[in-house]
Amino acid sequence: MDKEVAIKVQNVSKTFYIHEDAKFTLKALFASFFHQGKTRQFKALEDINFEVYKGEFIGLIGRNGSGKSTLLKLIAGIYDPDKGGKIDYLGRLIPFLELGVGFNPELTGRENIFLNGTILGMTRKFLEERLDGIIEFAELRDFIDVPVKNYSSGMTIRLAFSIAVQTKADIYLLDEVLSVGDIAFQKKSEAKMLELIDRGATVIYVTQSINKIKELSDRVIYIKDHKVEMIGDPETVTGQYEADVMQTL
Amino acid sequence: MFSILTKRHRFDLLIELVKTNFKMRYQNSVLGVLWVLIKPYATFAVMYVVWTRIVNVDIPNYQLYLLSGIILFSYFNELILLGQMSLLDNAHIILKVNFPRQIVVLSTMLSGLINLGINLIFFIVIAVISGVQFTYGSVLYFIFIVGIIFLFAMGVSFFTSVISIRFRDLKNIFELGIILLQWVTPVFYAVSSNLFSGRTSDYIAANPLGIVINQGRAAFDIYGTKNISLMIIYFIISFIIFLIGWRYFNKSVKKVAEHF
Repeated sequence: MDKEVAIKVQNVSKTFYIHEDAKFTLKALFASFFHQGKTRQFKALEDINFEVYKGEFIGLIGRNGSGKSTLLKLIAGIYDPDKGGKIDYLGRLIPFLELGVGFNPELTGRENIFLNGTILGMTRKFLEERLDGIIEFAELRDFIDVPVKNYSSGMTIRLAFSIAVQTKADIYLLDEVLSVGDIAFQKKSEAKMLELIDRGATVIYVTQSINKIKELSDRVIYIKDHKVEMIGDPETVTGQYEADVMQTL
Repeated sequence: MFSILTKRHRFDLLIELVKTNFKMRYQNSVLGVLWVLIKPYATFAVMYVVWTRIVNVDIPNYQLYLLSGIILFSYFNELILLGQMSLLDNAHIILKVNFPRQIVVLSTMLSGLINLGINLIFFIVIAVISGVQFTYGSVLYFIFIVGIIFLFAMGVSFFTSVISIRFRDLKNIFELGIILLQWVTPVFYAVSSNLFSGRTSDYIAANPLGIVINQGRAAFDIYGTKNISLMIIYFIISFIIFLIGWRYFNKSVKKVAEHF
């Protein structure tokens, strides 16, 4: 089978420069004239290389702070990689690094649909057409004209998820967003995600749930200490990850 | 450069951001949008009483002189202060989604423009009562003046919005600066007045903001005469600042996400 590359990550490293004096104020500015302000380097990712094929579901695992989210942000174009690194992808990419980006608690659910939807790159017309579907899916028909600040956290996240899944992209980056709401809504949202994937979308999915990873992924990338430790079939890679974690306990 | 808005979804995003800015400012306030009017007109009322009853200014059509000055100055003031905070205020979006960041700056600028528009409605009413003749020429010239301030403020905001992220003092510096600026700008007095001794009036007359505001007044023959060639030069300078700002913004904005 001829596999088309959807995402290509080459020699990607990411260094953050952390100013020891975190407050960059006038005082700090003058202080640094006298003694050179200390900056500490922090390598969040080191020499990452991998390819993702079109239509693949990739699970991304690793311990907290290993660099998974930074990697997603690099692919999403929110950060630039260090010199020499290169990230290419084919088609339209939508990152879900967090659900409900730009949600404004003072606005009503309906107003937030348009705000959040346009932030995610949808047009107003498209959202108007989908409005009923979004409200229906979120199960918020009676509350849609109530300010979001009066929603429970479950309601908010349901609305956010319902908007997000309207996007039509070739590549989705998901950061722990599959498991939202109560069990009934989780089942519904998982089915919706699988529907997107069945349309041939490519997905990179970050989660701590090993079961989900095994169940959904075609391949798994394991990031350890800011480097790619292993890429391969879900059983092997998650097995290695679990063994590593057990060892540190 | 302007291709960022030719895509429909970018344009819709801009509109949503402007709408949200607007709603947020007046949500949960009893008087709501009326505040847009109350601030400049209350300032106007107080200043008018002070300067006509106490100081006894000799500027003809002083009510229009003062009102146009206050409206244009607060327009400038608002663009500069809002523009400077635009990236910080929208950090929650910028850190999560990738889109042309200029949209955020532009949306705050447009909020300022809308407030100017609301203020002008009442200004026009008062101007008509006072016998000002509105011609196509005068309206176009005024729009040109408004445009110069817009371009200049947006160019400056491209720098200040980025710098503010790491240098938070800038907000306070600018707030103070605007207060001081108002005293050296002919908002409520005229450059030609006999309030000043020595060369003070020469210095104040050289304040570019004052010159632009006076040209706004000249558009409707409230004060002074039009100086179109000078305003074209101002327009070009503002446009150059805008272009340099745009380049600086484009170059540095990717780094911005790392510094919040």
